Amino acid sequence: MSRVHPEYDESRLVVDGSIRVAEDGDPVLVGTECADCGFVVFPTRSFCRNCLSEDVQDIDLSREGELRTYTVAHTGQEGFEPPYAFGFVDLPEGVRLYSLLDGWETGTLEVGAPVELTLDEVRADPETGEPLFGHRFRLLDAAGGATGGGAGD
Amino acid sequence: MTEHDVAVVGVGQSDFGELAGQRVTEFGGRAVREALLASNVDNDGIEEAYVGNVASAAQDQTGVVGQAVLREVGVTGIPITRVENACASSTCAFREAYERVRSGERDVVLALGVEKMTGVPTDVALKDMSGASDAEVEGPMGMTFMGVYGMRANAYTDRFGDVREELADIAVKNHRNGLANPRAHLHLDIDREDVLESRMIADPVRLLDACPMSDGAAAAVLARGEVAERLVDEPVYVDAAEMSSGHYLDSDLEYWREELDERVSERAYREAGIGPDDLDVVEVHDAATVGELMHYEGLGLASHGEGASLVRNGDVMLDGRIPVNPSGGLKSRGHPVGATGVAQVCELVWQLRGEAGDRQVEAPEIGLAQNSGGALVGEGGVSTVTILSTR
Repeated sequence: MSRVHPEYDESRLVVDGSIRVAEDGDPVLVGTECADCGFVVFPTRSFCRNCLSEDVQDIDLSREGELRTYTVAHTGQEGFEPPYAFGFVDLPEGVRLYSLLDGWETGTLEVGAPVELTLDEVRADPETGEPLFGHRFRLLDAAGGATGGGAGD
Repeated sequence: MTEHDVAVVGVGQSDFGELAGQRVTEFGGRAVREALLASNVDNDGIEEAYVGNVASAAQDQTGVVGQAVLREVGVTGIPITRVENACASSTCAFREAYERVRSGERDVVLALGVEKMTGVPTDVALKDMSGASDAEVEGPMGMTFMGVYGMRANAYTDRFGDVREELADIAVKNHRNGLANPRAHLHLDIDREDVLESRMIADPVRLLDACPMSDGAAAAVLARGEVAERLVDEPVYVDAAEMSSGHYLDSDLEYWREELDERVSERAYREAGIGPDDLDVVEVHDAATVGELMHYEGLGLASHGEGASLVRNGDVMLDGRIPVNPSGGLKSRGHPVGATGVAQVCELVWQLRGEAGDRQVEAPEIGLAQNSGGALVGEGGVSTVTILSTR
């Protein structure tokens, strides 16, 4: 199952510079690592918030992480169709980020669940109606494969 | 009493609710007027004012809102500063007023909180509310503030087990207390089943777990101890007014505990020279029922994972060992976000003075108010702990 939405357009990201398609065709989040203190931040930044150094470099972040916690929204923000799930995902680099979640209807939504990155539609542009893209994480089932729902479905 | 002591001499509060057709200046002015009259302070006796207020889109008066409200009561020609810290804005305004008097720079300072949230399209109000979380990733990607409470609830349940019924009982408690509060927004007679069957908002947070959006204002006049003793018979002393923000740079925060409360309350208890067992009455930030439960633990009223026992034992009921939210809390009194903080102070003052009518806690001497605001990656933007007492 593809992890990148078929209509993905890098000029229409919800968070500029936050994600890209790597050489292997799968998406990867882009963070920033500090050469001086090792602090890693997401989304990208031009200097280190931990030590203020400008000796920083954008890096690719892990594609798999652990779901720290989650909820399913039944009343949501405008532009999001309830029910929809979101949570905080922990990546091995010491990054924790908010993400919409997929595969929860058929998978097991629980603290500690392994999740993998997709690059998918996040919402429609309120003015043009065109899809805006960004990261979404989906549940991996216990066997290690994706459980259902996916990029472009 | 030392020369640095600070006391609340008078408080005032508007009705909280859907104040249809009322401008911010109207209900705001009314709250200040009540506080001034209760303080025996003339409008030209206020030396400085701090005004908690959050909304930008929802409100009619968005700029210089403090000046506009205070003009209604002739409080002018003094430094007036608007303070914003999301849902803790007016506690932070109160703390600014407290520090100003405590430093010796001023003798009499006003703290006000004011907010208009109703009568605007829901998406406008929600947009204002979503401003209290990260605007780069979370807001644009559909996070909701009740979703933060849903996420905390799931982390808590995962670690400590199901507390769904106790959370419902917190809602029942706060609504019952609110029925005895004439100025409360919601006067609902509900039972546990009503809560458990109400519409899901952000699993497991249901409609009756969550506070409403409200209009309202609350005001408090603070004075230097010596001045306070001359103004009123029963000044209520401010023993501590502490606040802090989250760490944000760490990625290992545990969502099942209110670490920010723990840090702030530890400083507040030390400043006041007391511990949680000394408290007689408490107001906490129950934007959702799970918030109240976690604040019990964050404030040291119960140890981690034991908060539900305070509900099962009846400890936090109006006639219990440590009554929490006798006002009805945000749940029932309502939550005009800029005004809640000072409204908590109002409740404590009324309770400590024996003026709380049908919701009076028996002979309290020491009260604590805890108020929260905002969140970034689910970590609180601010927690405040204020301790008041009659000496």
